[in-house]
Amino acid sequence: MTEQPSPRDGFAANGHLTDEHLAILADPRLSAPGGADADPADADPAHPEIATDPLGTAQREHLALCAPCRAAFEATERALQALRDPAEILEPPAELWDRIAAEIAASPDQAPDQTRDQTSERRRGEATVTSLNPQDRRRDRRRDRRSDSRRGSTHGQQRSRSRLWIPLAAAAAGAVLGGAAVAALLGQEDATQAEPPVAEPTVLGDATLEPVAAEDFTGRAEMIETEAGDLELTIEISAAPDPEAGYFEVWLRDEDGTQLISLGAATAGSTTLTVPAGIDLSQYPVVDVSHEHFDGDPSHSGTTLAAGPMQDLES
Amino acid sequence: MRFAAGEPAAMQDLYRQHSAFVFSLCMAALRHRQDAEDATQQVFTRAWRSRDTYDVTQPTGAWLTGITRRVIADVFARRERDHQAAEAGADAAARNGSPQPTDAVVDRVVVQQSLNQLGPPQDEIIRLAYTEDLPLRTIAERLEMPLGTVKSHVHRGLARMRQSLEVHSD
Repeated sequence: MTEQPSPRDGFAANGHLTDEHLAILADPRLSAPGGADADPADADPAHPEIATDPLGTAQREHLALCAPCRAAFEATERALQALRDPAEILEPPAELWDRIAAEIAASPDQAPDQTRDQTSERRRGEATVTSLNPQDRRRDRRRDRRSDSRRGSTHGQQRSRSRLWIPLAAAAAGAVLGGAAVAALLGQEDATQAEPPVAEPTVLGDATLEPVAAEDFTGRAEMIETEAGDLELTIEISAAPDPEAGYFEVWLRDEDGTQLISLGAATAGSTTLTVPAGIDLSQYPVVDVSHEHFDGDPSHSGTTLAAGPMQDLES
Repeated sequence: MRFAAGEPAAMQDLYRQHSAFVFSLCMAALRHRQDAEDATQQVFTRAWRSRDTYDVTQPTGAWLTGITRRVIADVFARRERDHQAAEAGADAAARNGSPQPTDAVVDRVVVQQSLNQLGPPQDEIIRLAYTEDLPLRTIAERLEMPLGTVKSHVHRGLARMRQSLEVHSD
């Protein structure tokens, strides 16, 4: 199976069959003693046995005894078989990569054979590395404020709960689907830098929404539990919908975008939406803002403008 | 391989390099465009999720071929279930219509891909000799080449196809 044929004895220096002899064994038409003076019979596929004679016996004996050469011979025969009807090579549609990228971004950065605990450990490590951006500092301020309000609280009915959300990497802010054209549809009004939501009730967690389908669409979301025990999600987004082009809808969903709960429409600036009582927040850890059309279809349009994982403030 | 370290950009490189192959394989096996697109998406997302199982000593193409085979098998299994659920479903029946064994489909796509990589005049010679089944002498005349030259192109071309098939077989 080396590159130098040694036609005289039909074997390469290493004792295996050469490429040439593998080809000849698979296709006897190739067997005529090389050169332009070949006998016309060798081109006649109806009589391959005639042409096999000059080389046949020794190589076939070798094949019977040598597994690697036998495998090579079988692969050569498969090549001939496949060549009778080769499959067409087709390019996938251009948008397929966007779908894959979105799904990858939305899936947890976690390999199936790792335990969730190890992964969470690692994430916590990562989170501390990236905590130098202004948004985090803003969150820190808010966290302080929340602690203050807690200290001042006379209720003393702090939920004794463990984590509500399993921490996802910030990168897990994913898309269901993306589409660059969406950005053009959006009103490009800048964020009306709304006041962060008032944090008198208990802040359960927050999310930073990273752009998905629209480049400069960002936002923040904060989940609170009111004094009355209701859950509310306050969301601030950086762009306003163009009423001609549709509206923005806020969802809680799982990482893959296979389970979704609609919370309602969002306007530019700050919108507070009620989260259904009884929801298991760990099943819907991602906040997603979609671009919807006035088409009467209540399901997610597939175009996620921005999304981000909820994080416990304790984390 | 960088994607094994979790770099999404490396995943895009992997996609650029192999998406036509994976998609063609899905198309040839599933014979349904939407199913093939969905399957291709699954192959790359599964590759991403299982990237730490990738053996860096193996070619990425062969690794993806293995994943693609499993995704295709899943689609066939699902169609089988759907078919049983709705026996009279004409659509399911049309899609089921005795698919070629996936091994053979992989061979057909691998061979076409390596044919595309051979370059002239070897690709043309192999095509004429095996896809069109022309006598070697006719090919030699048509390409104005000595018969011996045609044969040695065939030897070398077949060796390349054989090697590609060996890489993509499990």
